[in-house]
Amino acid sequence: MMEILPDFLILMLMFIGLGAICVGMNRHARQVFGILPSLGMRCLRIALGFVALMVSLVPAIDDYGTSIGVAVWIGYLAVIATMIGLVLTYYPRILRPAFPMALAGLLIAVLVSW
Amino acid sequence: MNFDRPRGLRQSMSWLHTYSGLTLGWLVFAIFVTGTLSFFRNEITFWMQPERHKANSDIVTFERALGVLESEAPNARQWTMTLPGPRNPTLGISWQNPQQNAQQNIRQTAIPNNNERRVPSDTDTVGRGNESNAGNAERRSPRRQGEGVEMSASAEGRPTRQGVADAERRGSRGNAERRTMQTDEGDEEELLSPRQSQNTLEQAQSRPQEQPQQQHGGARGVRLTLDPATGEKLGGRETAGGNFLYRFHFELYGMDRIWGRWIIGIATMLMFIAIVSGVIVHRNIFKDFFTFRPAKGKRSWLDAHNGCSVLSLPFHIMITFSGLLLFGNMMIPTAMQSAFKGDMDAYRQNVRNRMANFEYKPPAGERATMIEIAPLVAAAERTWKNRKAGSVIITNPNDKHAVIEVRQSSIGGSLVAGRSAAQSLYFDGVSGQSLTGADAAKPTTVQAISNVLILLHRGFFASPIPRWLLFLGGVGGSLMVATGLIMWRVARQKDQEKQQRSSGAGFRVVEGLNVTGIAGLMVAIGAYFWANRLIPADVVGRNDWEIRAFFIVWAITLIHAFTRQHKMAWVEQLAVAGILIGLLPLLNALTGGLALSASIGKGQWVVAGFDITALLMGVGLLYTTYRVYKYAPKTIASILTAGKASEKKTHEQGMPLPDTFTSDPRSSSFAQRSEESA
Amino acid sequence: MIKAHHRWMCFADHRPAMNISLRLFMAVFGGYGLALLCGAALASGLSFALAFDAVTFAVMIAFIVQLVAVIWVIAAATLVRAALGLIIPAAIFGAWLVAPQLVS
Repeated sequence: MMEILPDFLILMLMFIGLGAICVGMNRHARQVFGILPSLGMRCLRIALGFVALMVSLVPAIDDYGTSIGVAVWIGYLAVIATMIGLVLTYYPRILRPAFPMALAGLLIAVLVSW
Repeated sequence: MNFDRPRGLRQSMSWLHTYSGLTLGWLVFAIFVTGTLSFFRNEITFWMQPERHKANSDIVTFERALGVLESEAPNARQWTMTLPGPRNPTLGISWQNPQQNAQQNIRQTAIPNNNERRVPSDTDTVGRGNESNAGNAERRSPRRQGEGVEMSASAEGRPTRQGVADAERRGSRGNAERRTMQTDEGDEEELLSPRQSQNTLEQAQSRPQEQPQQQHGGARGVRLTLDPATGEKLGGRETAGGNFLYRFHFELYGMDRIWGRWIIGIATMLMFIAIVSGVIVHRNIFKDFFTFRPAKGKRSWLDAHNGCSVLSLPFHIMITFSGLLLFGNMMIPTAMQSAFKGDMDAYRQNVRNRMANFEYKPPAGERATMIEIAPLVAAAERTWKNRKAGSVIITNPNDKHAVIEVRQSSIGGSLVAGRSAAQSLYFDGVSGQSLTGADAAKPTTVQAISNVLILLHRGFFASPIPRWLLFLGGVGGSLMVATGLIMWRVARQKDQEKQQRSSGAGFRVVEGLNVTGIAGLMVAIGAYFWANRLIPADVVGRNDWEIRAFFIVWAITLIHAFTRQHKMAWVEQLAVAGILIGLLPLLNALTGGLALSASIGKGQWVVAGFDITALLMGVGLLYTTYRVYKYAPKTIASILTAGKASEKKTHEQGMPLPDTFTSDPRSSSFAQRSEESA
Repeated sequence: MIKAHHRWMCFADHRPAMNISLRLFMAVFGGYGLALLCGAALASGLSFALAFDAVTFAVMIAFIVQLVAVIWVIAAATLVRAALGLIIPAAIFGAWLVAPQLVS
């Protein structure tokens, strides 16, 4: 259980990050939320998204070592991006509760690892 | 498009992308698919030998194995024990007889086995095994030509871990016997920078003309395969296993190796060009990042193609460029020529000087008791901090001049270090004194880059997660090529219908080759695995028959593709592929392998993983069949009326024609049309 | 968009079949030749601590050079430009190969 904790952390952080970047775009915000966000909100989401992505690099490098960690990170990025892309296409509304759920999962994981 | 008219960068790159992709696209697809499967070639080989599925690899004994080796081959020059690992749950033993010259042997083997922590048991029975030619053998040859009994095993009695023995093996190059495919692993290194093959002593023998004939039955591969726990012999049907797919991936089959490699090298270069031109063409690479629009015909194919490419873009660029690097010295021979003025020996010496910082002494002829190995290995691992020992090589055993070399595992650890000079630590066999020469050099920047790229390409990882991620990337890449090829055909057909042209010969050729190259390949792969189970185990040369089955079925799909109507060809071939691959778990259970329920229950994840993956692939293929079957293209009339209506509209508004893929210079470029947003 | 008429247009610029054929020929053979030349020049011209590092690096750069050459040949507006894009680097690499002290 504890072995997959870093991977879980990475995936959650990436999901939050990519999801935030995604709904920071007009096109996808409309798909998920039905309304267009303001410019400030968009910038905030994209910024937070990138921050989350960068943070997700930390458990990757910590667990796998530098070189392999970066490779794993890139690989996970592709997986999460594909997932988000497919979900957006077919069930965009799922992403509405998904974001807070991912945050919750992240908090739980951080608490567990502490 | 015509080059004589004014055109933009995106238009020319679109043309380049289309034709560099289309020229050898089917070959690139085959390379991608076989390469992706090759990440798990050891596991595939294991699955293809159902007699071994019951091997219980939880516990291993070494003392008994040594005893067996002494009873089986007391006068051998060299013993090798291939330890079980996550990729191969059996224990293999082999030996090198005295009359076999060290030169005639396979050089060191590389198996990208994963290291895993396991607790060895105290005692176990190790029995005899059948002679087998399994594809997951590992060999080691003495570092110098001399006496050497070498035990490639982690030391007995270490309670907490066992390393998996591994080393680089330079494959045998001799004649193109297909039998060598079972055990050949890495002789693509011959044509590479010898930095990667630095572990071998007999570098000169990697040149084809010097390679002597393989000795039958034992010079390569494992002779006896044992169950690590119970020690009973495990037969193993003769099969090329996953190594057939692996070699096909970089050498093709049935032709001179250099030809195969050149063809693949050219295809790789075309792929590289296609990727970069594709990135240049893609206008909204960030805006369209998450965009998939289903059920919109060509638009959807474009989205699928873009999605598969862009989302794993780093992977694709990495794997293509590293593929080129692996053939680097073959394709760009002038570099080596000009640096070393054609002096091959100087080249290898340059490599070896960096690596071997130690000189062996000839055997003294006096017997001496050797020191225990376990503390030496522990000391070595402490020195390396986070690299594990992969093998132990004893030269001049039981002799006064014995030398014990502890070599790093070739996997795990940093990608950057790769196979660096710090790889081995040498100890005097009798006193245990460290003999390692000067400080091991760190890899230079160029080496580091090259190491990272090449190790990523080959997927040498300690943990399964990176390998599975590479596998997914490979699946994405295969889909990228497939969607590209299909999209070209869809678009071209639309143009023809619009202009009411009938399909030309080129179009029909592409259509048929699409089916055979994509769906037909999957059918052939399914047939390969089915042949593995259906051909009886005691048929002589059955590995050749399995391979023949692969190609015969592929040829049949070619004929089928060109004689059937296009859509039905797709449906039928995809359905057959889905059934063949999806039923592999059932076939596995019925033909002597470990059934899925049992393999999961016993923790035999090699077999379970294969079965589950096959099941998922089969389901995916069948779902695709269903979707293709239900896909009803619009009739020509409806397209034309719709086309005319939109033409009127767009002409009135002065916009360019909405969807064209034509070579009509009046029409907007494909790239500009990707502007259409949902 | 590129202009319809450039200063240096040759006979083949207005003949589509010849245009494409020449470009393909230049891209394939010119690109590969340039890569070979680049490999040779860099391998002997660059000084690394280890000679085979130079070889590895030269090979990497050679592949990238080939890629860029092919893209250039296809994207260049006129055939003369395409050819020049091959000839000038070839001259530079050739010079470097033959007389390294001149270039460095």
